[in-house]
Amino acid sequence: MLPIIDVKELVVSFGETDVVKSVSFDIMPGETLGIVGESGSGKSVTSLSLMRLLDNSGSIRSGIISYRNKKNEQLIINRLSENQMRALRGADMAMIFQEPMTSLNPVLRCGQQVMEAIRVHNKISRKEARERTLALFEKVRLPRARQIIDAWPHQLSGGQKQRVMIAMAISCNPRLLIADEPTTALDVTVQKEILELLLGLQEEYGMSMIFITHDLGVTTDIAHRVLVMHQGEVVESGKTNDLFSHPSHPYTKGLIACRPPVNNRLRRLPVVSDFLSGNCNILEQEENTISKHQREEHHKQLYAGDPLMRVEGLSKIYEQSGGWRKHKITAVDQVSFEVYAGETLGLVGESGCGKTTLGRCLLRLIEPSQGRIWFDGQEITAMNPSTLRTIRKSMQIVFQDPYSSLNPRMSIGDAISEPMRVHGLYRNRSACKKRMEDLLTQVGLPISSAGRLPHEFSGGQRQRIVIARALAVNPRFLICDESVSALDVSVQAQILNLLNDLKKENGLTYIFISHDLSVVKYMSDRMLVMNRGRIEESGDPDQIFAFPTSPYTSKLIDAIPGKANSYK
Amino acid sequence: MNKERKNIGSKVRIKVRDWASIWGVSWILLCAFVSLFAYVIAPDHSPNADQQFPELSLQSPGFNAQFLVTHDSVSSSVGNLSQWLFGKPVKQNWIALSEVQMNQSQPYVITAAYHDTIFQPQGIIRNRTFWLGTDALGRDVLSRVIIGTRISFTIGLVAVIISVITGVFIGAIAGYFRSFIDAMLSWLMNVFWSIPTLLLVLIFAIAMGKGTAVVFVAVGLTMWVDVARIVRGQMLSLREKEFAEAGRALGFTHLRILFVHLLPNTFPSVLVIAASNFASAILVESGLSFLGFGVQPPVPAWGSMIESHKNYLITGMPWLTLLPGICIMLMVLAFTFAGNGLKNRLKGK
Repeated sequence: MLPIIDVKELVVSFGETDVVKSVSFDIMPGETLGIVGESGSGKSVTSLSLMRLLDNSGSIRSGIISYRNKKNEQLIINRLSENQMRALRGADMAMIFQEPMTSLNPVLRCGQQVMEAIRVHNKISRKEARERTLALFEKVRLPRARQIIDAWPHQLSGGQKQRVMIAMAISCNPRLLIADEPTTALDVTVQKEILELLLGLQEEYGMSMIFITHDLGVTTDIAHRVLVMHQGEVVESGKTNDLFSHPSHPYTKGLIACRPPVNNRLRRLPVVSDFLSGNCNILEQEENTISKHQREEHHKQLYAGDPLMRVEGLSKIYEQSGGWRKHKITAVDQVSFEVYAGETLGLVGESGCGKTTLGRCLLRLIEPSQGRIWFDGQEITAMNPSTLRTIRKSMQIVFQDPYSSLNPRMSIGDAISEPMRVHGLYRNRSACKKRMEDLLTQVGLPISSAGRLPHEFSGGQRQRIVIARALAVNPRFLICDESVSALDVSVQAQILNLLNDLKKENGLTYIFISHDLSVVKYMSDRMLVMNRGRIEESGDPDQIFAFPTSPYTSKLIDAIPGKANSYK
Repeated sequence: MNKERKNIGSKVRIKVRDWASIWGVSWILLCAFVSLFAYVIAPDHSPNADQQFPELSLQSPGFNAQFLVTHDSVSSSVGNLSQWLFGKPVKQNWIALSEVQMNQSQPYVITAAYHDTIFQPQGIIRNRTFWLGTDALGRDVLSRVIIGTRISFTIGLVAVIISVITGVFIGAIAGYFRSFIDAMLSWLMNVFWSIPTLLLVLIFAIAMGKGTAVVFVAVGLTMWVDVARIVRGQMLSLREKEFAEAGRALGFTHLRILFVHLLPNTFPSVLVIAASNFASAILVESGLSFLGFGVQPPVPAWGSMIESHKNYLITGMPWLTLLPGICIMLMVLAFTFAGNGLKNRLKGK
């Protein structure tokens, strides 16, 4: 059998720098190729050059991309004219993007957008196109297809929008489907459904597929072969199972290892750089795992004391004035729990379950509608604005998006020392500066970076800066609201290790909010599972994983990508 | 190959765009220089370049005339700052001549006005060239155009300062606090927005009385709405950013979050709107002067120069109207280019 796509020594450069350096691979008909790598590894650029969708600043420097079309003719993609290329796009090759929220046009109805894609490549009437769209919507298992065809994009959920995108992509029976991180922005349960859908469609249509992701776990569920990319080069490739059982390149080993394991507890997550520098042996030793006994001892100590925070009957009700009548949305519904000093309380649930609202209510960044919160013996819900401002020194929050949580026009040194100055923590400027430099060192950034602006840092580095800023006021209690969700798996491991180190050094108490069960399990001493504003289940994460009592929890556990592999 | 050529093309385009903004900035600097030292540069040093020679009205560019200057007292007036800035009153008597005869026995001149003959004239005979000709009242057009720069430039400056201060303040408060404060301020903006600019300036001008200063303030007060709208819109999205929320979590006051963290992030767009406001202030002032509600004669302003010479546009002397018109155009263009350049420069960050 001849490959449908054959890439030979592809070099793509932006300006003077080569982003993709001599990459070669091929794809057989009906095969799924997973391309895995961190952000900036060149995986998206590679797939964009297959469709010649690079923007003006990037260009294919050398190499050959050949494509075998339906009539078995060999076409050299980087030599086709723009018109020939346009005929290929959509009809022969289709693409699904990461962000379902922005990849549909908000001013056109969902059905219209799919119909347009069909009618560009086929000469058929509107009515026929509508019929086909309906059939496609049923094929991608959209509920109520007849209503959704006339719905606006904003009326659909993220998963549903991604299904519309998939319907659009397969509308002209493409021979190659490129999926660029199609599930990264989605919840794990939705991710699982979309992956299953893609697998089913691929079999039915006999398409080839390129599946791009930063998460190795996802590829085990879907790809036949995997290509691991690092800094523009392919470091390893092979059959998915072989690659996972016998990774040969240290980078691949690192990627596999840095995902928090589900079956045992590590003191410290291995990170990619450990493997690249070759001192990974220490991490595999016995002393890195926490035994059951050690954990029980630790918990006995933790829960002997009084709780640091107590929450009683907390509710948040939003009133939405949509149309004529107001309707109420209960985001958090009568939640009560305690947080003990020194513990990490995990809070897990799908998006929209109210976990973020709950986290912000605890700090009164959002005013709770009902209920009471005590922190360290003081009732937070009864405080006036000025005492609240002083208590905020002891309670801090680290947000999800490392890009928007720093003021883009303030140097990071100023950003870290500002809270100290505002609260008058230190007598003079030099003491402030000293503390700021200590904090930078603590979070693993060089002191010399203090004068730089946030845009000069990567996502992981920014998250370190945000953590340093939160620690500037010497808090005792830190809420991490999806703090690692926007990061690559390899960077995530670094930040999780950092959080654990800081907790030990500064005697912190965490509430760790995430939609990723495996991360919450790794981090927390106790775990709360939230669903529709209520606490569905709570207890020791090991216990919950072994014997989930609610069906919702077991559904979440089932959806963890690559779970089968972690248990191997 | 094809790609490479495309790349070179885009680089060249960027350069052209850069040159436009470089020209814009240099033109603005030149105008600033000219308006500051207008009386030093202009051939006619009298206040408002108002030295009139009715007998020499409507002469073509490059016209050359001889004058009999009596009572010359130039030496007494050197180094006085106010003369530098506002011109020096003419103390001599300038008489335009049509003929000069230098007989050895009895030199005489003939004046241009009545063809009177003056024998043995007392004073100095001087030659003067009117590079851009003279207007209907026989004033030097070049001097008036140069001094007119000052009006246009100051009106832009004052209008921008007034509009930016008011607009940023009102827009920031409306966008940050939202709710009923926003509703009230937005209502105010909409009311101002709905009144035609010229009409609004006319109302201000009539209410506050005539005069150059009034025009400046009036134009400024009509322009703040643009700034306020932009700042409000930016504020609405900035306040939802997580660094604003992080500020609250860190115990910062609203004022601190608003003025230290959020406001500086609106500066790039405020700068751009300020440049375009500068340009439109110049246009509004020209329009007002054209209608006769702007700065009052004899102060030279480009708009009023167009107005007073509009009849000569088709009677063979179009430069009287076109010249100030081109000046307005160039200055507005310069600010537009400079604004675009600024926008591109700031977008990168």
